[in-house]
Amino acid sequence: MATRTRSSTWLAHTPQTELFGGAGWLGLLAVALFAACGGDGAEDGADGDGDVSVEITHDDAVRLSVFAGCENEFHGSCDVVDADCQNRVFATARCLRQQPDAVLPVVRVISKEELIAEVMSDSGEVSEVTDEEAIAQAADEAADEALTRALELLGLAEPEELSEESYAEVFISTVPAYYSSATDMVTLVDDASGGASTKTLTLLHEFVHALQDQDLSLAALNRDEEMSFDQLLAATSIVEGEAKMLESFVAAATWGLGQDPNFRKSYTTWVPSAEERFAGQSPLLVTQRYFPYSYGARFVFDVFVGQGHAGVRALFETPPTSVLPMLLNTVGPVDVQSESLSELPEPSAPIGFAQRGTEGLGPWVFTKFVERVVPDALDMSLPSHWRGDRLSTWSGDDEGVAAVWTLRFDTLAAAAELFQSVRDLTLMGLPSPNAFCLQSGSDVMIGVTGSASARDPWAAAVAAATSGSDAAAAAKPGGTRSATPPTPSAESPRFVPPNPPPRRSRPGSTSWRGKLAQLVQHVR
Amino acid sequence: MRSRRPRVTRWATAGWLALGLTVAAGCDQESAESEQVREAREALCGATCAAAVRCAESVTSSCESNCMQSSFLLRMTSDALSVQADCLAQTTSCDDGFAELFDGCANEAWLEFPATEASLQTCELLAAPLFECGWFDSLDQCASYFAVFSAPALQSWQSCEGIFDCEALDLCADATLYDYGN
Repeated sequence: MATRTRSSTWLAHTPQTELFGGAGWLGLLAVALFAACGGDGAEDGADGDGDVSVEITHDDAVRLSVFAGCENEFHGSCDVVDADCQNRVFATARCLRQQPDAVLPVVRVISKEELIAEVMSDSGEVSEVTDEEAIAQAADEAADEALTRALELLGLAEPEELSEESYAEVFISTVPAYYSSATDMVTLVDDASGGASTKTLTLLHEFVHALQDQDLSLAALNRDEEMSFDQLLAATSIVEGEAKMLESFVAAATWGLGQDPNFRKSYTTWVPSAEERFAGQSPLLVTQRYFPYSYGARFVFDVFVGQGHAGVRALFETPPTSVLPMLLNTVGPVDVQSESLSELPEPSAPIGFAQRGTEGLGPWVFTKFVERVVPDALDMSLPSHWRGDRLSTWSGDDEGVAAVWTLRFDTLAAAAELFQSVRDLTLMGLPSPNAFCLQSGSDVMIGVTGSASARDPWAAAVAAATSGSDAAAAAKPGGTRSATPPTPSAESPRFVPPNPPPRRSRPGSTSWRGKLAQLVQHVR
Repeated sequence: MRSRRPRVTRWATAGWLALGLTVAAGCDQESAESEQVREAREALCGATCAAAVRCAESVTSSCESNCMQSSFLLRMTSDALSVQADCLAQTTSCDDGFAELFDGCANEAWLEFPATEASLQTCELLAAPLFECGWFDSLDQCASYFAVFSAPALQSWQSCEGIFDCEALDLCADATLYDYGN
């Protein structure tokens, strides 16, 4: 996991400081916080509207209901480098967001090479710190390392995949523009992909971020380093969701649509192609590049339809603490809350381990876990039963890393379904060789350890923590610890030897390359 | 991230199949086409089969004749066919394999063309579902994308009007534009 330290000097000078500020995935999620959604190199061929010769005029007043009050604002394509174009696009954004007094931010254009140079120079930047800060920094790094290793052991990332370089690579390859609240500046990356219409919409998107910042201070939204991945993804989804929503209103006007299309539907129809593009990559690495723009937009749109701009503004004041309502609103808004697991007792770590941190991965990462680790075994609606999670990590000099991912569900049946499937997988050494799984009521604990010798002590410690204080006391360092799992009983957590895993057919390859390979066989 | 849209790589699919599929029936479209389009298609098929050989693919002796009857290629404008043929002929390197080479040249063709009246009209007709399905950012992007197809092919694609389900629209595009059979 990429780790950054905060430095006010550093923050002040480069836009990416905002993007990479903070440790761990605070940094990685912030990468996309104010960025536009674009730069799909894999399909750049289809973006080729740069040479469009057909003149499309936009003199007609927009008839879309979502444009009410802004019917005569600009809604066409223009040269985004041109000051007049910027003024007109900003006027549209300002009108749609009802901020008549907003100020046009500075817009700069940089080349892809300049972007790479800036991002790379940020990646390597080291700041001077006090002793106290150095200690805190070392603790952050240890926590970060343990978390990264835990994610690898859980099958949520490959080794080295969550490096700072990986995040920089994703940023460079997918971000066509961004707004920095540190400098109040919009940066457009000048490359060949995307024509005038795409670039105009991108500019509008970034202007919405500038408006959000002038209105509510975007920087405040991701300053809390204690925010979990789930919380940060939710907050990002509000910021990007609103920008994407307003962008879609202008896009619909640009299309010349006479009546409101199904906006809701439009926000998520492209998710499969995004996932195809990012196939196999860690959700911790790529989620921020499409979730906020799709599910986030759908969520914000629901609020907009129900409560108007005031409702959307209120989201910035109190953003949701989880993306759960953004996943469950498939047909309309839902009133569902996630549960905090922070009060759950932690297992007493076996000797040699020190706790490094806790994290909340959220329902989206759980969905990806199911897809990656247990794709055949589970009813795919299982993620909708997620109600909370906590990933706790420990490490020791000689012991490697241990982690326990506690997942809470809304029904016992859902918890049992996950428990049984993961328990079977652990027999096969999945998601990693020393994994174990327990169930306690509607909570399921998935444990992973870096060494085989640590597995049983950790399984016992987790079981003890969930079954009562007596058992927990017995598992404390220096106390009587058992290397074998406790005897199961009706009341205690389920930790029974798994049944032999059922034989499952692997899904066929559905990738383009797979199909092509089949095709080659066919034509020969 | 750009949205889902007809994939350029489908052209590669068509190209691949054109290399090996045996074509049983004749083709009415072909008899009506202009000499110019036919010549462009011949050039593309010649370049495609030559590139396949150059990339050490197993190619049957009927490669060019099969390719010529691919209905997918029959839907292309002569300009689009020519651009890809030139690209294939001029690219001697085959480092990434034939599929990549074919794909790259297809992309080049797609990037080359400005919107036409027929493609713009088609996009206007299908605007709502195309917007909702997120295939394109804008009308002009859409019109540019479909500019590689001939007017009759676009007319056929227009028959998908009224379909709002994205998968169904995708299938309809497959059937009317991307289908490689005869």
